[in-house]
Amino acid sequence: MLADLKRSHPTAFERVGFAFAKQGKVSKEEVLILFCDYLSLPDGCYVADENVGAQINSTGINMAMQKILDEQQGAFHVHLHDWPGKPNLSLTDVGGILPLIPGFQAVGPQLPHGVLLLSRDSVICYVWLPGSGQLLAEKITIVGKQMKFYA
Amino acid sequence: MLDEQYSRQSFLGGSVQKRFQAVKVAIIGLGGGGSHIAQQLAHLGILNYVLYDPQTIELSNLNRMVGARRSDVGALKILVAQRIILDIQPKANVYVVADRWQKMPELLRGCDIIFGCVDTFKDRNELEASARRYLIPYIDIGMDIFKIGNELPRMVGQVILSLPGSHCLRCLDFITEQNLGNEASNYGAAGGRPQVVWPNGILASSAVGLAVSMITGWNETNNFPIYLSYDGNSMCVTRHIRLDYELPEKCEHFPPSKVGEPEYKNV
Repeated sequence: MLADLKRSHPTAFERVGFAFAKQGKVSKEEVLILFCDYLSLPDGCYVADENVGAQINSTGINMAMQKILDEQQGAFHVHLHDWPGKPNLSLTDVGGILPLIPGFQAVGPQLPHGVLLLSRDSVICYVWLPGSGQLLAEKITIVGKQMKFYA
Repeated sequence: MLDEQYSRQSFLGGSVQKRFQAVKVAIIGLGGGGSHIAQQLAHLGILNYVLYDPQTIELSNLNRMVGARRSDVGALKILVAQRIILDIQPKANVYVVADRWQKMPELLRGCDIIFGCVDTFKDRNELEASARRYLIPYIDIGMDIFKIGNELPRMVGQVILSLPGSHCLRCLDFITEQNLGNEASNYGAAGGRPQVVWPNGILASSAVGLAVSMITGWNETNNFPIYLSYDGNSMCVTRHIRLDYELPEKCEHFPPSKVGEPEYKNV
């Protein structure tokens, strides 16, 4: 995912992608979001716009929505703020990304959707669970040969 | 005081104690292997535990269960393990389940690493499948002592990491339909199998070392997959010979489509 987001693009300043997840239940208060797939967007899915880091066209959004429908996995918009420290959504992010969520919920109303925002050394995740408003993930675990934990 | 408690393990990294505090581990089986693991994790500074074991301590467990006293005979193994942990880490969160993990699997899902110290291939098979569904690394330990004819007893054991996205116990030929079948055909065979304390300690220590490596990255090991073989007769832990032969390119037993809650269909 990170390697894909770090690739340069012919016109856009940065790249975006979509991570796909399923929901698991731990307890009444605790829900797991299990990321199991990633959609890398082809170069042609970007719109040339010098006012933002990256803007994607309807083809890119449709690819994500189709995958939600076909594979019954929630979609999470992913991009990288390429500096250290805990990232936060910018006003541009809020205005450009959050409007995607109702569309995702329309094709996968029973699935979790959201935004995964990476930095060089941290990550945050906003989640919309079925029937709930915006939540911030309390803990994020990256599973692998070296585990990483973010709270 | 905290700094002093962990001063000898500061080489593991600057923020290592924060990482240990963030981790939640599950230990399935708190007998000979699991009790060692619980004790070592507590010494390291791990603070969040889920422990499963329905069994009580018998006199025959005292030869190998770390922390168990004669007065504990009849007590639940999980409560003795909980006592061990809390003696070392009074602020630890230790959730104990006096039942099989299958009766309360939800608690497992919130864990970051699962240590399996179970006796049967069937239990391992089910535990690994559940761990894979929820993308949790599963570390399996086990040992056996057997005798063939007039030969000396043979002591063998294993430590295996089943990492989501990587090779599983079936890919490594540790779990096969044949050994599941053989085990099922021997179901109900009477008599306890031989067990002793030191191989449990060696295997548990190796499993804890593996978990520390994954949590901290202190040794930057890239020696995956991990399948360690213990030969108790020669007292060696080595990379299992299975890894010298070709492995499947990727695990076909647990594809990404099998992540998440199981789905049931009417047939």
